[in-house]
Amino acid sequence: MMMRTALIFIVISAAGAVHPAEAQEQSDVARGARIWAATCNRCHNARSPLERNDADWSVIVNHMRTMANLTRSQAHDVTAFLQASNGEQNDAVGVSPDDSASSLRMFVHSHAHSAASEKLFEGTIEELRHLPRSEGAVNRACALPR
Amino acid sequence: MAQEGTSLNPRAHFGRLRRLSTLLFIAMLASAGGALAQDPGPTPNIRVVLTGYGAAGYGAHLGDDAENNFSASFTPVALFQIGDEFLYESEFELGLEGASTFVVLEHAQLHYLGFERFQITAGKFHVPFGVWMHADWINKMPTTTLLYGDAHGGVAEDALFTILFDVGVLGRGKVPLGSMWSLGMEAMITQGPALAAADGHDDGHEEQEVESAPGHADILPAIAYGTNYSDNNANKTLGMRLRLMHMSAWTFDVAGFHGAYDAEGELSLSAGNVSAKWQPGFVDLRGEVVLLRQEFLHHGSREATSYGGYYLQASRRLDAWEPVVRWGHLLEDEIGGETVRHERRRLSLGVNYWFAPSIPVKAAYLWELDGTDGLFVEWALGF
Repeated sequence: MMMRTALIFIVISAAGAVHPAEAQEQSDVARGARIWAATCNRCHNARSPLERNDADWSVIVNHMRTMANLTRSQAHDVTAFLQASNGEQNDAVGVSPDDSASSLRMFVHSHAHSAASEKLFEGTIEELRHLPRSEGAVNRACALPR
Repeated sequence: MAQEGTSLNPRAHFGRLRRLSTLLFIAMLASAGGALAQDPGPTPNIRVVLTGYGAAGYGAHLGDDAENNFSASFTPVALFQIGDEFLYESEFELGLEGASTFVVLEHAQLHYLGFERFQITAGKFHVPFGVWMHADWINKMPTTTLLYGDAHGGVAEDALFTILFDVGVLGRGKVPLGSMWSLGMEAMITQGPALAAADGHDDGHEEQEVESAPGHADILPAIAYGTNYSDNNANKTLGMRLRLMHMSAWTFDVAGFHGAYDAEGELSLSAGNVSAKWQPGFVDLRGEVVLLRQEFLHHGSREATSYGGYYLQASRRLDAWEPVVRWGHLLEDEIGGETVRHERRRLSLGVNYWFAPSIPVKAAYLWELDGTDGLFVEWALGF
């Protein structure tokens, strides 16, 4: 009986388990989404993640790191977010392209530190939603209903 | 029977073969050992990205001496990432002026990004002073503020000084202050400003006929910024900026630089800047105050004067539209009861239409309370 219970427990745990590497990547993406929302429209309108491929984003974010004085970890996280949101590669995040936006929104809001910052992210995302040409891209990245 | 040493002797062949194989083996060992000793490590990955911006515009100065011009510019930015820790970037601006095309190396800088919270930059870079609004698709107006003007000889005719670039070394660092605040710190040492020569060939010698500062009587020499490529004196300019930022919407900057601008390195120029931005949701409010103190020689004795100005700007996104209002004010300056810098006040009203986050069409009307009004339109594209 106990063996069967333990076996059921193990199976259930394994079914819901996330590979450690994937969990870390999802966490990087979530932090990156928060930094992107709060930082990347300070000097200019935030650019859509769909504008560039993974290789380009890794270079451009380092350029932005010098302009915005980001830490190395922050730059890494923003890169992870942009690369996860540009449609080029979603397998590493462990979600499908259609689910990635929903996941990002969930992670952003789950990492908001207060109602005020949660409102900030809503405001920022809502503002970005009004950008006509990139609306589709921003919606995809930020899981906004069409 | 084959004799030893002849081609028909198997033992001889085997011996020669063995000696040859031994020599080859020794040679291989030697080359491998040499290669290991000189192993340069893994080849760094090099990634290149071309970005930048361009613009086309129309400007009309109204009034009695009305003039109007179309304009165009192209500003490519090349980024070279080598490995994960080294970045080189360079920005050129190409534009049209008079009857020719001008080319300016706006910045050419190397970055080391291997530290977690600290960066090192060397080369020509944007001086950490003031709010960054240089790129045409970032500036919410088709014109610059009264504080920073466009100039390609180091002296801005219509502003306090030019967009500030300089050559030297810069260090940046950042520390978190809790979960929502951060403090950024930047410190630089650069060539610094120099006397602006009237003939445009500035070698920093005071004896040369110098240009008077725009708006000044022939008392205060004009200062050229960012063009002191062969340093005119032994003095270097030191500068720093502190940036306090809240994750929500606030940014506060305090910056300053100090150096000597004359050939003898005896006349100093100090500048201070305080700026703030508040960007809640759709609204963008920002302002900046600049104060300079410049020493100069007047009838053989050293004197000093202070001058400066400020601007305030407000904008709000209404879907793809964005109305913008900007107020700029350069303060009057007197030396010995004589006005050397006349007051300038400018109210700018503009509206932008954003095709995309980096593609605006901007239009603005400028009321120059102390000069000629103007109408400006610009189409910019950041890529």
